[in-house]
Amino acid sequence: MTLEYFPLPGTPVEQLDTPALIIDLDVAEGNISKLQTWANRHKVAVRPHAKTHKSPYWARKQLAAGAIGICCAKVSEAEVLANAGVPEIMITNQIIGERKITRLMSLARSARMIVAVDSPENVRDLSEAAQACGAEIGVIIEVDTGMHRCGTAPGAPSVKLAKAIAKAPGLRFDGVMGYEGHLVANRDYEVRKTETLKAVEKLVETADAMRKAGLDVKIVSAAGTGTYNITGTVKGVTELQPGSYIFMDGDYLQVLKDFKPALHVLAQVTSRPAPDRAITDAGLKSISTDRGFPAAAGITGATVKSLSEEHGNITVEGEAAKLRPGDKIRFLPMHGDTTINLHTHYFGIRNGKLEAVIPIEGRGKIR
Amino acid sequence: MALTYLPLPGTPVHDLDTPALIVDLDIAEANILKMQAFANKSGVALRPHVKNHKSPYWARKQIAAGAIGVCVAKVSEAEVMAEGGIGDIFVANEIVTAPKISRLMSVAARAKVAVAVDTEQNLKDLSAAAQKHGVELGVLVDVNVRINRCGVEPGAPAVALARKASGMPGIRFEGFMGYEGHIAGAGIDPAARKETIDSLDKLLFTVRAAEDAGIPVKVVSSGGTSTYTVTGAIERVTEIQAGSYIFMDGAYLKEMDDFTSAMTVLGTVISRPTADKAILDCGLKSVSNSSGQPRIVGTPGAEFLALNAEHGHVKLEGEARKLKVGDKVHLLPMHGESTINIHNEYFCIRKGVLEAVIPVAARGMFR
Repeated sequence: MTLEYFPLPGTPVEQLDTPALIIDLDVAEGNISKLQTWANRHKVAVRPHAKTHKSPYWARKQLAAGAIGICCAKVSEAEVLANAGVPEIMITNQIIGERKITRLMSLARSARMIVAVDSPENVRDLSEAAQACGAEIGVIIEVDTGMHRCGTAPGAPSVKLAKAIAKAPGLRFDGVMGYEGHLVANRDYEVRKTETLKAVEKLVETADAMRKAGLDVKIVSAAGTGTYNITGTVKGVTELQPGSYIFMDGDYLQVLKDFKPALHVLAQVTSRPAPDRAITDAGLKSISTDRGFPAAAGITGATVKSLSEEHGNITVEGEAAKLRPGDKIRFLPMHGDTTINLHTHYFGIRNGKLEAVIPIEGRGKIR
Repeated sequence: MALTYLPLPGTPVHDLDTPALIVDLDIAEANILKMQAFANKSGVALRPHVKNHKSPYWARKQIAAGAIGVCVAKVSEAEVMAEGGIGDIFVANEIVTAPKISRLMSVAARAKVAVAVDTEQNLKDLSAAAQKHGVELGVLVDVNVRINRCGVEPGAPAVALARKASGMPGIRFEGFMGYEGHIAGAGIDPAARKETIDSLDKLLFTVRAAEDAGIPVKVVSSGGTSTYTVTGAIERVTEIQAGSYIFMDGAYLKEMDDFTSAMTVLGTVISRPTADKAILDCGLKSVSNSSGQPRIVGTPGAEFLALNAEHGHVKLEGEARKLKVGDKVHLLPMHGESTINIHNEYFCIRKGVLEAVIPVAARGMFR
């Protein structure tokens, strides 16, 4: 169908055609290894969320470093991961509707699948489908630990649902998850710590209440990139599910500096209509703005003024005022997840040269 | 590779799996005809911009209705259009650097291609490439009509560039383009109408200056959905480049009712954590918020609150509180283009049932 004029491995980064999503492989691998090392030392497992990278290539690197499995948000993402050989996948979301549930059961025949639930109706539908397909599927309860998105209330309501799962044929009750998504990006470490400990305590207490009721709770899963080293120290949490740490983005870098930025969008100047204005070829279709405008990296005096569909409008002064059409600029996106989802490939760079073009196979897998 | 479980034609819209990008064919086709009828009546040609729909399917419908060709923003979009059988393509953007220019020449070998320029260096590069590849390339000088993005300044600088283009081997100088993209609501707002006329004066003045200098000007290309009634009525303007009229979006609907909304994102309620709240399976990865939060249509009492990457938060009042897990709702995106660009397929509906699944063939074609 469409033409893909890929550059050959070995191409210097500055010769890549633009816009291009570039990853510094040393930095990304360093981030993977740093989180895993921390988790090993704190005796907590890592099950990274793949909704950030949407790619089996990175999932395999995380598994090779020691991750116990992979999280994702959608059945279609799970299909991509399972088909690429990822053996255990947790969908950290409610899967509603016959079509999606049927697809989930089909996957459960070839990979170990775990899915989050928050209602008895969903438990019934999953159980019926599992029996019909002859599959067994792991189920965890999503507990609302304060984010107020999905999830059952902590304590008794969650315990009641757990009992229903344990009795449902075709389902294997695995445990609980609680994502403290309302805290992961809090800029103040002390507030983040205090509030996260309170939120995670609700999850751990709920797990204990389930055990008291005679249920076997193997999994207690929580945390994002901003809270990994808080949640990961709580006794009773068995695994962490961060995703953004792998590449980081401009927003998360304002929260913590434990991990380094590995991802940029490479753009080029296409027009220099005025001394203080440079126009680039990277707009809203290659860099997301839902958390703010990207920052120019590696050059001083360049500020993003606005992005239209396919143009970046850059105010330039000083060093940046020397930019000419054809010159390249790197931009650090404020939100990595939604920027990656705009691209079809990563250009993996090591020591300034292209090492691999990596397809983003989960891109657009929203169902 | 990735599995695609597409529904069969004839499936009722409410049985489609979600999130799904839904287009009402009767409405989109009526929008196409209405814009064409305006152009015919005004004696101006229509060259719709396809960066909006990114699909040869819609481009063919526009051409069947009478459009003379299409505009694109990127070489990779031009490749998709040429491959989809579109014979006349104008790249309404500057194409700089060797890899893109080579690809442009390859498209010019199989379709009539023109491109916008705003520097002499770019003209020289295009001329050299056209000669090397043995093709002829149309060129329009991009004039800055107060959008302050790309483009040379009106008058002498633009005429000087046009004169250079006129004599260059491999180059066919066609005329001028000027996009008044900084204006909204010219059809209803007298100030916007005046700004459109003032902006277009810059273009028309340039055209006259070129003609006075003995340079024949065939094409004067301008106009968007916001300004088509004003720009399209100006006698010397030969073609209008509107794109968004085909489907409309929430932002355009705020400023005009000439065209009807044809596109929604269908989502499913996946959790009902409290009486006044529903969580949808649509987030930033299926509905863009670059022009604001989407609006819920067809469910009175449901108000959109916030988007995460894969979740939508909806506040419920009155009737809407009856929404259950599994129910479907339609979202009207505020920004159509950047929403379409995150989907792989259109689900085209006629009278409530699926007629065709159409690939968004140029999705992610931003190089």
